[in-house]
Amino acid sequence: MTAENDEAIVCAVQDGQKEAFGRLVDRHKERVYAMLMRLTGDPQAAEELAHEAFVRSYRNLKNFRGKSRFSTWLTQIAINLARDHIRERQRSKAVSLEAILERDPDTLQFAERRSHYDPLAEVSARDMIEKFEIALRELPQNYREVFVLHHIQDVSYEDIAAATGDSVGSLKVRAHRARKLLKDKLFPEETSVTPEDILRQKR
Amino acid sequence: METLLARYFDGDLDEREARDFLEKVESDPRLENELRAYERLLALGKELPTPEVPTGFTERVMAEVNAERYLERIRTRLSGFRIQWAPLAVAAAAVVLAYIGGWLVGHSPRMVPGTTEDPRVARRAVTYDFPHIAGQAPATDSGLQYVTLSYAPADPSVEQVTIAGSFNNWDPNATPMRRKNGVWVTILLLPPGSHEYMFVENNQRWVTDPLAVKTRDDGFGGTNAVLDVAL
Repeated sequence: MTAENDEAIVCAVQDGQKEAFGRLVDRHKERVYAMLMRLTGDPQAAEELAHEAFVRSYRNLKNFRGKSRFSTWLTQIAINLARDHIRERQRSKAVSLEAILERDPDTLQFAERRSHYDPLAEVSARDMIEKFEIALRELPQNYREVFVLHHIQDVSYEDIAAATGDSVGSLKVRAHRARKLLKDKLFPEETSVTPEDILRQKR
Repeated sequence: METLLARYFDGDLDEREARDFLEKVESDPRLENELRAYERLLALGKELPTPEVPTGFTERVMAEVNAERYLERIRTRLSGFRIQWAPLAVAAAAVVLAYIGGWLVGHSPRMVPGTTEDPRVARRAVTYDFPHIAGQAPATDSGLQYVTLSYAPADPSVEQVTIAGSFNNWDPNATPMRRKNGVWVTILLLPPGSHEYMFVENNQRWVTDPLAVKTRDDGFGGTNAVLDVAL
């Protein structure tokens, strides 16, 4: 998949060969769907958002001047759709959680107990990937977003910054925190910080 | 050390800093273990299975893209029409509507004998802008074909338009249309063959598609539009 080929297809669509847009969908759907799936953790939402990302890119293709690659532009559309969706979901979740707690205050205790679940164990490689996916889902949203985009989907910090309006510096800080949280959860014994270091820091 | 680790993984260390860092790692087993743990973590990220894109995804996107194109063409035609013929058309439409309005209101076509209802066509699910086709198997797999239909009501204040036809048992609630700039559009997923339909405004007024290439007397005093879907 090269940027050059994408550009040729984009030109064809802009010249009126609208059916050629299907080739762009075929070339990028796996990447976009995977990215949205990992950001939202919801197959149905990922499909709807990916669908919407492609339709929006088609609608705006006439204004696409090739200042960035098509794949970058499409990624930015998808990231923004995912952000909107997650924000909306968090808003509705907050409401439903309040309702649940009102009904059953013990639920919070259960949720707290679950959050102390330690995934460290003797596990196979497959189990390790499952643990990794769980740990990834449990990351705070803004940490997960940058980890998924940069370390899994290989989107550059600059492209993420262009899509989200965040600075590259703040994205790097979040990426580091995400890496640290994941590492501490999955490999808690592998740390260069010793009890002596902690005591030294407290003094 | 935290900062160094962060800069190392972001590729922000210059050559000398990187060399110093790696020397430090080699001389400190705890630091080396930590670095390896981070590397295993990032490797896990690359080993995640790629989620499979739902079947028919491209076709569903292209069905909506085609609907967009259809709308663009209609908008272009309508804008030219408005400029050149709109005043005359309004006067003519008033006369014609006064004449035929009587039998159009309340007209309700029946199920046409001999036609089959395909339950896949009008299945409803709350997903895309065209919920009745969302989640369908791809047309190529199912033998069904995507068909885009549009309708511009004479009365712009119409709030709801649906399609009732032989493919949805003439159910005026099964297949909603979506309004865009005054034009109502929907995408149908139909098996090959001849299908009859009418537009329904506000769940009340049944209208023959004014753009239908072919129509057929429904045997009850009304006229159904006919849609021939090729194999």
